[in-house]
Amino acid sequence: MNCESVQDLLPLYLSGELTGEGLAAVQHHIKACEACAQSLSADRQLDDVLRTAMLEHSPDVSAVLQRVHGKMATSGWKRMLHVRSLRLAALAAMVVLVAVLGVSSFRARQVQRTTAMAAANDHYSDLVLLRHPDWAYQPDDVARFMLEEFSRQDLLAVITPQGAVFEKVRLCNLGGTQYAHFVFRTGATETSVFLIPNGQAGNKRESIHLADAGHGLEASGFSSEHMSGVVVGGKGQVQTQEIAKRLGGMF
Amino acid sequence: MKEPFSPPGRGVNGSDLMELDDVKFVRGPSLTMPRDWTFEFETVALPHAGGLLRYALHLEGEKARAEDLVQDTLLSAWRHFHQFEQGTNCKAWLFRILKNLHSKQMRRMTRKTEVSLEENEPRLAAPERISANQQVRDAFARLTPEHQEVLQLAAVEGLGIREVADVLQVPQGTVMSRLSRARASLRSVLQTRAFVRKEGL
Repeated sequence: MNCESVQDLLPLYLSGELTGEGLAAVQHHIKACEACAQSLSADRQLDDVLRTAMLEHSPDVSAVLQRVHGKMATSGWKRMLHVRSLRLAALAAMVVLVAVLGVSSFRARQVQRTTAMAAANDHYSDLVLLRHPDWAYQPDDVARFMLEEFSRQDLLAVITPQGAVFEKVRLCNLGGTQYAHFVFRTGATETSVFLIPNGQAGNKRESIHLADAGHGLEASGFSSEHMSGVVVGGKGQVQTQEIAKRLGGMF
Repeated sequence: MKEPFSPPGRGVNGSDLMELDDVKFVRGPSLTMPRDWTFEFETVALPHAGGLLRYALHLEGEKARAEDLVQDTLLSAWRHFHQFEQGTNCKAWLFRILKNLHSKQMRRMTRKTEVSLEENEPRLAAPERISANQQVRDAFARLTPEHQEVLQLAAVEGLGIREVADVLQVPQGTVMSRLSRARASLRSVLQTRAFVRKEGL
């Protein structure tokens, strides 16, 4: 490699991006050629001098950082909107319905049934059809949410179907109403448990069982003033009613 | 527990939904709560705020506007932090965002203010009265904006050639030759100063 080619490669060499044959050739040349070695050393020194001088005179960034922190703290919800807009999902709508309606007993049962069917739809579309690979959640978030909304240590045990293992959980959010979606696995079978805080208004305790919730699924739900929970699993494969009953015993 | 009600044979479709005519559905997008990136963002991205501000000052030439640009850059980065490829250089990613935002702003500006080179050209202060670092900054300020930019990104901020090319949206070869010319230029300005001879540059 001649001096001219080496000079061309020096910027890459200086930035540490030169690899393989190019790197070996430059190193080899520099050992033998004093002029190129000096040129490299001078460039390196020039960069050092410039960096030192510029960094000595760095502007104060604290004001802008403070502004950024402030904006970050207040725009959490907006940030979420930017992340991912999924398709319309029935359950989310139902969650809002459950959370905001001051429902009569009659209507509560309608909501119950619709919620259970919507949960089955969500389970079907999210787990059976789409198999979302990227459940976006952070265990800390879920833990915080669960502690705030359902402060029971043994809750996970209660909602775990017999013989199943906990697989994953995500927090879902619609219009400020959060709910947790747990997934348990028994072999190839997945069971979803949806836990929604702030159940129906009033002291009504309602339960529901849909032996056929569509898509070959069954769903069972329970709600009280504290929470609503829906369990969705393969028809006849999971004791969804049993889990809903246990939830009922707890809340 | 109340009586379970399970209308046999009724699925999601059909008469079940007919009963719900009087129920007002609240429809909206289902949003899966994203992972909370705040901690990662604060540890990986925010430490580069200083470098971003230095670069923004070069582009804007004025502190308030530079700060606004850095703020916009960091907030945009925060909103899109899930798109940041872990393991790649976050600093380069941030600089790219900043440069993009700045270019967009420039395109939006209808009036371009002409700056007189005469007025803008910094004077070299008498060497005996200023520090060596100040002399280097003065010399740097005399370079063309293009040379300043490439030196700032590569030499001061430590971005790689590929990353600089990415930020500036020019080929790598252009970055390398521009960088060589910028170094030569800086050296030439500095060689007029006494201290440079001492330093052997």
